[in-house]
Amino acid sequence: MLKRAKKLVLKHKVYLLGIFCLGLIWDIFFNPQIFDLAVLILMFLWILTVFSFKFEPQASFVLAAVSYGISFVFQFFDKEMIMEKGASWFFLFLLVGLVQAFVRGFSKNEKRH
Amino acid sequence: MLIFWIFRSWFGLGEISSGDTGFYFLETLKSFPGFPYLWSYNALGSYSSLIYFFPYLILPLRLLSILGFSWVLIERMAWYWPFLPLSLFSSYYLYKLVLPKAKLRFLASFIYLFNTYILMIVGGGQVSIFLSYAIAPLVLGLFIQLINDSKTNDEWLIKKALFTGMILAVQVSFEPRLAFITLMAVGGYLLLQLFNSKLRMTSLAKNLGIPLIVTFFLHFYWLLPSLILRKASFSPTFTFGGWAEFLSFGQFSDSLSLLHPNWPENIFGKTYFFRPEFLLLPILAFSTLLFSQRIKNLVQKKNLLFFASLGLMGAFLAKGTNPPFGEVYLWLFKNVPGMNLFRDASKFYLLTALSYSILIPFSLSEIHKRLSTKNLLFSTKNYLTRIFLLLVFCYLLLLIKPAIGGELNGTFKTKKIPHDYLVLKEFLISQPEFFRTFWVPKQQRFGFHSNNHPVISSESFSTDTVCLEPFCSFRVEMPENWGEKCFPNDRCYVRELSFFLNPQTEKVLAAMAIKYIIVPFDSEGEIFMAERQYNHQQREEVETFLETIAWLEKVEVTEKIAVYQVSDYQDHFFLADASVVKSIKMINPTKYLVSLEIDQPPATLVFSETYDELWQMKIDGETISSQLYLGFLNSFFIEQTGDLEVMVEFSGQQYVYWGGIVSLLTLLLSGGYLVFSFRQRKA
Repeated sequence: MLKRAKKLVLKHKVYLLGIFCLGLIWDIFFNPQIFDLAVLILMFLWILTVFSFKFEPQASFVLAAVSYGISFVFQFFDKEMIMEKGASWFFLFLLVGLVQAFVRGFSKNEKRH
Repeated sequence: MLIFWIFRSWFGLGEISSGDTGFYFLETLKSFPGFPYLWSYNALGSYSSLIYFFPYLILPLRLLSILGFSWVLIERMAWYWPFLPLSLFSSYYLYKLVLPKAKLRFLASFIYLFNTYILMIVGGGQVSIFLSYAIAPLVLGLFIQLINDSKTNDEWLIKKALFTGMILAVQVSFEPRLAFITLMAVGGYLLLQLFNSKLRMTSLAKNLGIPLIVTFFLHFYWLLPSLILRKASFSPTFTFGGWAEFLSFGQFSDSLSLLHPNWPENIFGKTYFFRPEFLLLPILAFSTLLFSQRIKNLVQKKNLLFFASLGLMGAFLAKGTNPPFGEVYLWLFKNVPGMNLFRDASKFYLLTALSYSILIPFSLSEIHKRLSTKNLLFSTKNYLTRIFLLLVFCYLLLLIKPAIGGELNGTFKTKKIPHDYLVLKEFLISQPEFFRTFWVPKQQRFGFHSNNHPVISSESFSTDTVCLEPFCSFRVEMPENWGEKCFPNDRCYVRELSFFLNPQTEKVLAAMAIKYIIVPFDSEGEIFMAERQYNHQQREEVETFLETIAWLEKVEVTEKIAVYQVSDYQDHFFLADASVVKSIKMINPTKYLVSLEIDQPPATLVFSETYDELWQMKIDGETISSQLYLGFLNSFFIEQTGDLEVMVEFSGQQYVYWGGIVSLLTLLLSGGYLVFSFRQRKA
């Protein structure tokens, strides 16, 4: 079951990335409220994307920086909701990136031992 | 120089009492107890086992007042001055410990001391919080050392563990909630290190167990009564989830940017628009993650990852119930033991401050390093690094511009005691008998009080949202003409006083040993507020209203403070019939010796303090429990006749004595061991 799911994810990884990107743009720019479930789903999609493309933690950090850039820019246009969304995504991408970094650190550590 | 400039009010003369910091006359300080007591004489008397603050909030003030220091010096010596070296040293120490080779160490102290969160806390006079904040990096650093050094097992580590326990105990005595947050950070670090297979679990358990045990026993004097008596020391309503929602002022962007939502005016509940200049701060902090990939030292790399996670955790928790995932905070508040102490989520800014004081200097030092190693001409390289440092410094100063410009209020400004309050003090202390004063709506910060003249505030019993006995049930319909000028949807002080129109109030006030009703002169403009501003009309209306109460007699004490006398007020102890109380001797706030002359038994001795079943009277070897009088005071039923001497005491206090012995022994043993081994090592 797990193997089949893994295969399916790897097979459709480009679609996953596409859906995630569209979802993220929708959430930041077009969703007028902070909807926790949407955020959770998008985060799950990003984790799957990271897993399927074998992204380095830096990918999450770069996305965090982009989200924060959005937050920074929209601050000047008085778009408070977009600013808050940017800040939230900054946090979430950093979180994913940090977890990746920790996991990598530990697995390297274990290999050494 | 910057410290002296920003905190200049602390180095001058003049009162800096503000916000949560009270003001104490020397007579008040001298009446402070010299020992921790479970029963506080404040207001109508109350039980509280949470007397952890005794070693720093009560004892030093009393000792310094006995030595003859004025309050101006006492508050500075005991609270304000120690904060500066403590926070500078402890943040510097943590940075040096975590990243021994990193440069720009002074920036760690700069960021830790000059961020908007701590400046607002300091300005608001939240002494316990800022002292605990100051010591937090030291506690975290000591624990990190204990966790990392668990590979070795020698006497040195035991000494360090004992020392860590004593420092943690100091932090707990300042503010247990911040100590809890610091221990959360320690827990996170431990979790991270547990994946390191090199750790020896037995020595780790010993190294971490010793400080926790030492802290537990150093605080045994109040933990023992708390554990045995299991009485609530604060209103259970404080733990309602609604509080957490109400007090979640900070948005995610605020908490990520280490920006206090009330910056810079520090008016409770008044939040401001976000300031774009602060958005650079998290970028500087988390750019560490990009630099950390190139660090070869695995321990330092892990440390940086840990502090980045700490910053994220702090930012997430400090926004409280605000989105995203605001429900998580609410769930933690309701379900995780200890989390219900954090109604105000902003305390978690501590984690972000700890994190940023490590991450930002590291990022800047890495940028600085790269600039100085670039393949540029020597002179250009030199200029570049200098310009970079100058820009960084200017940016950090820009963030705290209101502090530099002297725009911050609170403890950043000195105050002068109004002459009227000095006159009132002299008027009150010239009357040696026991009585209370009842302040409407609350005591002004310069209002005098002592153990002989405790203060009660009317707003503790009756406001729009508070309705407590004995005055709650006395509230009557207020005539429409009172409060006509009040703002809609805002507090209306005069309308909270309808219980004065009930004739029973006079009897109850007298039984509470209240001699004077006082309407304060609001010299600081912080009591009679309307639309977040001082409103003199509100005060005038309260005074006019009290003048219409027939059983109150106005006493001319001073022009600006209105004082009314309650006729036939009772003493601290009185008999509810014709018998006589000959003398009352207060041994301490939990023990009184009372001489009585009872002609006709049975008699009821009333003790004018809040009813508590742990109050008991000892007479002829017999113990009599307290009974309710008027539904809220203590009373004792006496069947004997003639001249009697009775002892009234709070039975729960015995646990403080037992616990105190354990605490004292722990202090002597661990302190003695450290001093002895230090001397031996020196020899």
